[in-house]
Amino acid sequence: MAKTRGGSSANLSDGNEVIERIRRGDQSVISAIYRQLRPEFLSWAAIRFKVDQEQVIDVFQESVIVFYRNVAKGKLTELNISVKTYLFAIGKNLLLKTIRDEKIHLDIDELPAEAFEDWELEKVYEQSHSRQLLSNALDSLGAPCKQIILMFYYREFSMEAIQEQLGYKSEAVARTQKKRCMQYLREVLNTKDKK
Amino acid sequence: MNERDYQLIEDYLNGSLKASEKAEVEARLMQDNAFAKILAQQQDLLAVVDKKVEDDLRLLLAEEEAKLSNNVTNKVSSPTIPISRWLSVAAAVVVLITVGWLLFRNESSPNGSTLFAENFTAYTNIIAPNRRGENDESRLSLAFLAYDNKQYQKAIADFETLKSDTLKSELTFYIGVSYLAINEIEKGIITLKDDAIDSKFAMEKQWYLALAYLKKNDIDAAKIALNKALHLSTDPVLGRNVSELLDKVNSIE
Repeated sequence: MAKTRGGSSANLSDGNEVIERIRRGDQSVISAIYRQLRPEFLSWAAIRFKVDQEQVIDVFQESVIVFYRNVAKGKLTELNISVKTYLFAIGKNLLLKTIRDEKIHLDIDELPAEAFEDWELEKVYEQSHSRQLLSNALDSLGAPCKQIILMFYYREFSMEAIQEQLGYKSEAVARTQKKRCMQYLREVLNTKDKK
Repeated sequence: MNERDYQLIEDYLNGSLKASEKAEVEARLMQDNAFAKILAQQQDLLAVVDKKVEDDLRLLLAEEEAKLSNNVTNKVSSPTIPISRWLSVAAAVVVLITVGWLLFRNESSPNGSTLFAENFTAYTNIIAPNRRGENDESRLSLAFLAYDNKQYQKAIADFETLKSDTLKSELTFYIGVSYLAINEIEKGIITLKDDAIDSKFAMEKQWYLALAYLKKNDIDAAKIALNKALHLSTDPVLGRNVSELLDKVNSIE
């Protein structure tokens, strides 16, 4: 078993152990996966696909994120194959998609001006502005509130699971805490809206 | 908007409403702009949360990539230098390093105290805004106002009074941080070790304990606390700070 910085290690042949660690919120396992599987993925992709190394690295990083997302959001709850096999399967699909997208890639200068309606651009701008405000507001909450919001909305934990994981006295206390965090988030947003 | 509306929107988005409730929400969205705005805000929140978690991960992986690429570059580039040139360059480097080390050894190697100064910031006040409308509102708000204004002695006194009635875990944690902010390191350590601080602050508690040990130049205790924080790893941003600090602490002779 390979040792990693900070004492973290990961036995990648046991996919279920890896899943369990990710579900517990142990992110060091992600670094371990990256370090252990990167060399093999790069060599494998170089032989199988005509894609330059930078793209392969991007694809590998995206594959690790997709794996994390599937586990964290509860889409992947058990693994009867190794993490390597699963991750390489994601990587293969993403590499094929990259190659396909390159083939149908249009030069943006060749698109007609009508393709960019003003109102659409405004809408995109407004959406990205409001999301930026929201992102800043979320950062201003501090770790306990952020933890509970990310657990609930990203990892889709039940309030019962949040209570267990974060050590709240009861599910009701965890629920109240989440409500307060959301109220605070809205307060921060409303204050920023008025400025 | 009331809490029920927010809950309704949340349930609508996660698909847990009955068909009749769903139809009711959809009808209201057509007529009620404020309600529609809250829905859009909640959709934005879901997108922002996804982006935030995954951007943090991308950053983590980019850091890993940078470290691995550097290793590969170093391994590949070193044998390409001819041996005679390598020896003369190496001799010059040894002389420079020795002179540099003699001149700057005090300034260049980090010590516990400088690492404390570089890394310590008082933990964000996340409590007072959450407690409006409750009985202890004014006292709690005033205590946190003092904390936000860096009047830590007053904040400590107020938190001590309040903690027997409310938020014992949270206020004990803030008392510990306040002690560190005014350089009362021993009191900070004793307070942060208090079992009253529950697991919500487990990682943060180890982070501040590590900083306190660094200030005392107790490097071994700091390493233990940082490793505990790394193991807990509930906050990826703090996790990165912990990793970086641990690297620096490990480089202390």
